[in-house]
Amino acid sequence: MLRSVTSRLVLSYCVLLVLLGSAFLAFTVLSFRHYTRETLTNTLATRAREIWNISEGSLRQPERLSEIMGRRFSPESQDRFIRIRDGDTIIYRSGTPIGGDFSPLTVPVEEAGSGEAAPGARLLGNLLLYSHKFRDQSGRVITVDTGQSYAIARAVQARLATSLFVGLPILLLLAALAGYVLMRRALVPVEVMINAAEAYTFNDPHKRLPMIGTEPRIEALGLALNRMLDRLDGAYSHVSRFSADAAHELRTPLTIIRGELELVASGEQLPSDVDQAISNALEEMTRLSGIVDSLITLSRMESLWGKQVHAQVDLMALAVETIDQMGLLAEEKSIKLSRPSGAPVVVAGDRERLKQVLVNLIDNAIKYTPPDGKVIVDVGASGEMGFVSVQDTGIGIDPDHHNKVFERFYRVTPDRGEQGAGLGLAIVKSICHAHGGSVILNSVPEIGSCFRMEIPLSTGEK
Amino acid sequence: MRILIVEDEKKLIDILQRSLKSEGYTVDGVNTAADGLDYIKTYHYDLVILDIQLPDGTGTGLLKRMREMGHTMPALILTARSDLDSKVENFQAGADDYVIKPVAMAELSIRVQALLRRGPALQENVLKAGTLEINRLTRQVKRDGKRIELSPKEYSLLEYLFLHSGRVLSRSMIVEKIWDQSFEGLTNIVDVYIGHLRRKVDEGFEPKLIRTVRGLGYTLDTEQVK
Repeated sequence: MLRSVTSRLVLSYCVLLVLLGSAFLAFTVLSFRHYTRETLTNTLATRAREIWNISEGSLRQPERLSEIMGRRFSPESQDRFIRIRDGDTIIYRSGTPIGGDFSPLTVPVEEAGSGEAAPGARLLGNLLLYSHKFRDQSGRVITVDTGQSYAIARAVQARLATSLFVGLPILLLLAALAGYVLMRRALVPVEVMINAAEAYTFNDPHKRLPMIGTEPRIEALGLALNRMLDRLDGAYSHVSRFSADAAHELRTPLTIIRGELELVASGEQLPSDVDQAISNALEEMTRLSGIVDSLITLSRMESLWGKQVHAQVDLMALAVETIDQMGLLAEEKSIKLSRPSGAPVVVAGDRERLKQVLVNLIDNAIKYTPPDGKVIVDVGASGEMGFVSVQDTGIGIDPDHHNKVFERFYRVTPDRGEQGAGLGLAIVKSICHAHGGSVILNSVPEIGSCFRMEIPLSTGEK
Repeated sequence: MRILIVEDEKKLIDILQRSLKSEGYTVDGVNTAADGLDYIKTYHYDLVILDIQLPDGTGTGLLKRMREMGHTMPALILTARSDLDSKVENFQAGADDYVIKPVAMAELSIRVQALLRRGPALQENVLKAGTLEINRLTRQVKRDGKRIELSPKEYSLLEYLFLHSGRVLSRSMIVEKIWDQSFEGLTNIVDVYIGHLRRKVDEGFEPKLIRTVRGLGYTLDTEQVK
């Protein structure tokens, strides 16, 4: 999951977003707190000076002072705190505010700094307290304490922090989701190319990757891959043509060698060692001719890939006929070769070639099944495909070899000494492909193998 | 009987000449289509064997020309080209047989024989080899006068051997004749059927009639019973 570019990209920008978001959150909360406190402090300082100006003349008349304060500042209804004192002696003190955020009686009398320089505000519970000292005409030092409830500011700060703490992850999630979706959409052409590349086979060698012109680099990649396919296609057909040409060219010299050997063999009595040598040479000649024929068959099948074949072939009848013709081979090894039965399964194809597939598969099954084993041939249709499966109770094929057995000249064990050159299954595969079908192998070593040929059902006839 | 071979490979002409001469034919060989046409115009041939690829043209072209000129003798195409298109084209041009290289000399001579209609009288219904006889009408087989039951395949095989008795039949000839093209390369099936056939017609009888010729194939040995 984390390996894909999409996930890594989304993940890394999410990490970046988290870092930036946290920094932004911390900065916002802290600066907001700082700002509210400073603003309030300034207000309090201004108010202290105002209070001093108003109250200076009335310090000795407490009732008048109380009335002036109440009228001018109405501290109780505004959650304000006002206290005028001479050292510890309180001259005036406002009452309990309506909000009840603090109690004026318990506000401690502390000497806040010295001189006239504003010492800044102190936070005492919910009360932001600011003290300022003034000197009256008689030289008495009067301290004006002024305060303001800090509860609202606190609530606002908490609200801000909460909304940021909740909002940011949601934002992050949305960003990640959007990023993922965008990345996926950007990679759609790549997906299309992957599917096309996966589907590419030499069955249809002229097919190329589709070009979806969204992203120049992706399009360039597609074009580059297509040019690569052109070269591969060229190389493949070159190799294919080469093996056909080579096989072709071998036919005449083979005829000559064979003819010479036959003439010698059919002549007068030969010493037995010469006779033996000629017989061996002739047997190998036959094998060589077989290989040449197989190679030419293979290249012919490949040249037919992707072309339509029109004849109607009943796989059921074909399988029964083939089994009848090969019955004795199985009998020789006491192998039970079962005949399928059922309704006709009609496919479009070349009868002789399809029969060649069955012959090859059944022959292999008999060859690799020990005596007293079973070979079960089944014919049927599933979906749009007709199939013939050949199941044996033979030695099986190791999974490592499953794909390779269809390659030319491939043998599971090179020293098995069987005849042929490892071209049988390659021919099977190319015939199946030439018919727009496939051959599927299921095999478990020591239990048996099942080869299944699938050919599209004929659409011309029900 | 006079045969003309038109083939660009001199060594192959040599082999064919030696092989066919040993069968009693008179054989001429030329390398080019032009020479081939000259020989056909000049001499009378009972059969021509043509290669398709020639230095100055094709055997197919030569075949068309000679048919246009009214030469009706059988023509056998001997070629490395095994595709169906080529076969069809040559039969349309007037070929009587189409043989793909490499071919066993025995097979070629059987085909030549068939084209010249000089083989054993096919009309004969009862064929004999020593004490073995087959009736081609009733498909009955007898050895020493006793009935032998054969499966249809075994009978076809024995009949094929009878029709070419004394000649060596290669496994691929037998496969092609008794089975079909699909079995090409699967020559061990012939050995199995020959084995069965021997058990029925040769086991317990003397002399043994079905003989294996190593490297070449099988023959119904008529030499020893004549």
